[in-house]
Amino acid sequence: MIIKFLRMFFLVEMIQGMLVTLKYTFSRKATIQYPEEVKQPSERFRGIVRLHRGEDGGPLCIACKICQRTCPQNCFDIEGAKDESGKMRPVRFDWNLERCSFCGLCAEACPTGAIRNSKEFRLSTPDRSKLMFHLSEMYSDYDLQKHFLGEKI
Amino acid sequence: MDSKFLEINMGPQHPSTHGVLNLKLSLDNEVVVKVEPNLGYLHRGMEKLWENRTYAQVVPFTDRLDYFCAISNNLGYVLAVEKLMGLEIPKRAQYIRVILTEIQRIVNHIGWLGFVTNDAGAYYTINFYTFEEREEYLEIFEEYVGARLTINAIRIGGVPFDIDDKLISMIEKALVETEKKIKDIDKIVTRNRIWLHRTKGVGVFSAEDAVQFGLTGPALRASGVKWDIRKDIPYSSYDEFDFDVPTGTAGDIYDRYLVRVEEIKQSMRIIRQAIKNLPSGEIAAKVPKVLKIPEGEIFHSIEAPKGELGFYIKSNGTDKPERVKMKSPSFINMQSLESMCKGNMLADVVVILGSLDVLLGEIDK
Repeated sequence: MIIKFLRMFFLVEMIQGMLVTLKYTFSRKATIQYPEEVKQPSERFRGIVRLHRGEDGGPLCIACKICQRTCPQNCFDIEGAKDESGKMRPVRFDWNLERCSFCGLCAEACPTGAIRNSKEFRLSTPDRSKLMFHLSEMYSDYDLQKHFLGEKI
Repeated sequence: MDSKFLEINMGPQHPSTHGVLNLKLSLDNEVVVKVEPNLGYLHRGMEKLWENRTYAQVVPFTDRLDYFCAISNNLGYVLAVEKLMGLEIPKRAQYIRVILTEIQRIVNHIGWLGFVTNDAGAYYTINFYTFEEREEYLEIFEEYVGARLTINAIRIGGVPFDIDDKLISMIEKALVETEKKIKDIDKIVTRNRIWLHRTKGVGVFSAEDAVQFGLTGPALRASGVKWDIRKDIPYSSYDEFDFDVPTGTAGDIYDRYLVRVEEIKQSMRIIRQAIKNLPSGEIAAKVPKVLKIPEGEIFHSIEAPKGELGFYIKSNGTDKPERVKMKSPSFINMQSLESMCKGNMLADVVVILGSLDVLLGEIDK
């Protein structure tokens, strides 16, 4: 009874809590100052979808449209045709960023490994029409930041 | 409505309704007489949408229901599909699923701890500590599958990736950190007299009422009913783990807090056992590319962090489900809100709503 009264009178539990908050005041800060420091995404990070080229520099995509059928949000619109060597290649590859939910199912389904998730996560733009990607803009060596922000950067 | 009561609207743009929820409150001075939840502000027509998607395509959509614990939703849907197919899942995949869902349970409960103390008046102090901890687990998810919140980490037939040593060391480090953090939060909150005044004897719900209203999850266990689907109807080899189901006695907010903290500790126990006994072998069963399921219907429920999550699937023999019905825990738990709030003060409505751990993405679907 007396102990309970003393605990109440001297605010023991309050001081205990305050000591914990004081400890956190001097502990390592968890925040990252974003534009100056950028946290590196992990190895399997699912960023924007990009097309890749083969070792010989030619496109890997064979326009089989498996990604188009796998995509839950219906992002893709692909049209293929045979090139001079008789292989199927995409002639039209429209991909809509507005619809993409970054689920990564297209990259998992691709039989040739042409389509992969990149590590790019800065995808904002003032121009809505730039969210629609066409074949030449889909390749991994395409400069995305220039695409989104124009010459401003 | 009798004109002597004051009617006010709480929400939908209210920071403490955890989303876009409108509560119509009738007040007698400051005492709550009637609570009428008004739902549907986040309705996206999910169940209809799924009828036009193949079985595998539905999985990313389930992330968006309860976006605070996406893996539990994935698991609930995927287990229902697998049960309908009669598919046998490799043991290693089952264990990885257990590890992921238990991490998700810790993330949910520790996030809840921050929110509910926030609702009770500990303005963002504990919320920052818990979210710092949540960040560690989100990094584990990012390392495992590449996304942080809507992660789509479970596929029909198994899991997409294997767990390696780096990931295991990350998980073990995060568990040690969480233990420390829970001890610190325990020092701040558990015996704090403001917290006791706000939670003890507030929102009391008896075990009888809880069963009558169909309450599930930690709120039900806080009322003293020992019902956990992981223990009672084991799925995904939960019967091979040794863990306790914590229960409360009073059924007030304080007991819900204690039950959830104890559940975090039990989840840690399960993860440690799963990592220790991780069997070797395949991580996914053979599933055909075009998944056609024979006609039939199934209902399967799991213990999600918020309560009992069930999926009813009706198949018509094609590659798309004819009907998917979701029994979401938040929606069911919501209906006991009025009985909990009646007779309490207006300021307690916020804490009671927080203690139920509802999430509007799951209620409105």
